[in-house]
Amino acid sequence: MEYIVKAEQLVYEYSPPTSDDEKAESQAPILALNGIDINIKKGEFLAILGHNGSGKSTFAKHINCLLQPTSGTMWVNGISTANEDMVWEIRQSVGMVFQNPDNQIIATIVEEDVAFGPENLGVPPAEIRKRVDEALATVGMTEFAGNPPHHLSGGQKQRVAIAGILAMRPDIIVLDEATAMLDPNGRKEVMKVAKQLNTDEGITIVFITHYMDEAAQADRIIVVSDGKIAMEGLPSEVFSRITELKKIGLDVPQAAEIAYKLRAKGVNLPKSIVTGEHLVEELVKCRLS
Amino acid sequence: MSIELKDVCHTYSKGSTFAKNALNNINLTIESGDFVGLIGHTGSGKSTLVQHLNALLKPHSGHIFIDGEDINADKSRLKAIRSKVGLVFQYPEHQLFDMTVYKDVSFGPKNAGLSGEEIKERVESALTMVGIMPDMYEKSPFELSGGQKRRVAIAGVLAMRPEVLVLDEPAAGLDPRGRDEILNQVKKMHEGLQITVILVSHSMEDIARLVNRILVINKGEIVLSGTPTEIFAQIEQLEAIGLSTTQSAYIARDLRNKGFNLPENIFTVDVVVDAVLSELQAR
Repeated sequence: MEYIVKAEQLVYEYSPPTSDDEKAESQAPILALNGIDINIKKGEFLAILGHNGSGKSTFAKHINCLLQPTSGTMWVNGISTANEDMVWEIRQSVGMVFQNPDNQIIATIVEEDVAFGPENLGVPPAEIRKRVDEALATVGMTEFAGNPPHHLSGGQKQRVAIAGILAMRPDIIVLDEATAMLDPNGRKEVMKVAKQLNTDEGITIVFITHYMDEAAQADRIIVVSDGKIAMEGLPSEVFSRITELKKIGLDVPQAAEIAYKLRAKGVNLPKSIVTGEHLVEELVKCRLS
Repeated sequence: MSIELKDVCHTYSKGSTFAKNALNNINLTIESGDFVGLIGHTGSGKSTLVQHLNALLKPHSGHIFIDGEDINADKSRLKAIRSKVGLVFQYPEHQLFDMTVYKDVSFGPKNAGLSGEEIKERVESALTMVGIMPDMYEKSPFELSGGQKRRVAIAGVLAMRPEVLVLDEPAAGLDPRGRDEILNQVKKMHEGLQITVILVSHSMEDIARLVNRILVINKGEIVLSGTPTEIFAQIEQLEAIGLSTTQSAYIARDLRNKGFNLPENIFTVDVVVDAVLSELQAR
């Protein structure tokens, strides 16, 4: 099995911010990651869930060397992120999309923003033109190529940010709560583009989110809690553990919750129900039997 | 406290080529003690509308009455009106600024010229209301978690003792637990303080379990108004303007299409579970 990202016993520790009247040494360091092992397959669509402060963003920032592990190793494409000579190589293959669409667009015209990455890589102008056009077409933003970005919706801005990453030809895209500030339509747009890049271009997707309905669409879910992996498996496996999820402050899609409550009342439904379609199908069977 | 809007219109960049009608003849009444959900997709005019409620924006035509008083009639009354209508903007934690939680929340009451005793009483009751305990009063607001910061910011508005509380997407960006904490506190405040609450949200699930009335806004007009039961039954109309209903309501609809005998107007998890159970047992 080929793993594109491999985290071995990853630990990340930091000292809490101290105010003047407190001695730095009086504070115990905070363990944001406490010995995490995660393997991500090439071409996988992985969702990471976890409450605020669980360590999921800290993990994401290790994938493209924004953070270095206190101990343990992070391998990307077989290269350790601790290898300083390879930092740019790794950053080029791992694109990150962050939460706030307004914090990651820098140019005054959409296509210039998309060109920023390849320009910095020293890609020849003709090739940049080609990459920018392709990237904008892939995320469905071609008609906005000459527009100033500040008139775009949140979902459109995130798609421009994704196009900027695509123009650098990455192997992996990490979306760190990229849908958190968007309205329902914007969320759908970003999810659709992420799924399409995964299926059509074979790009590995790491999708960090608080929205359970988005995680339900992934190949696999990892739940992080207190710097450790609390659960791991198919969406149908993870979302069947509804009491454990609620205990660590998370939720399940409404379809899974309805199925859970019906099962508790003796209705014969499989534990694997995550989507509305599946629930409806199973209930129709129940009624016939 | 009742709110009444009469023929309210607002145009951005009025008179220029970029003129955009943000509100178009809005007429509505919100009764004292209502818990109203305001829904509409981005750009529908929700935020423009709520900013009219305490005169941050003025209508280009029409009138806004709060307890029968036209709020734009007399400029000298603005301060009194603004203290009646508390507005919590999106990401209110970005407005935290002071050294400690306590000082930040006391900023409003202090500026209102209240006595030291009264300020203390208001700050403590506002912080208690949002579930922030005394051991956090002297902390820097910037040390807190995202959900805690937001609750401190809301306490700053509550300390002004508003009679109407308007919250614009109070749960945006929070994890499920943070979201439930904030929304449960809002529900408690509504019940405990008997204030009027207007909640702007994109989450139909949250709206469904909290409010007693929904206003749907589209292109600057109120297109639907009614109880959650009435509004969430209108799936097609909601979808036509880029909105949706709850996942539970979709499941109920799909089951009805497959011949299940379920009521038209169910939209929360527990009600759908009960309806499906009685349907299965009826056979």
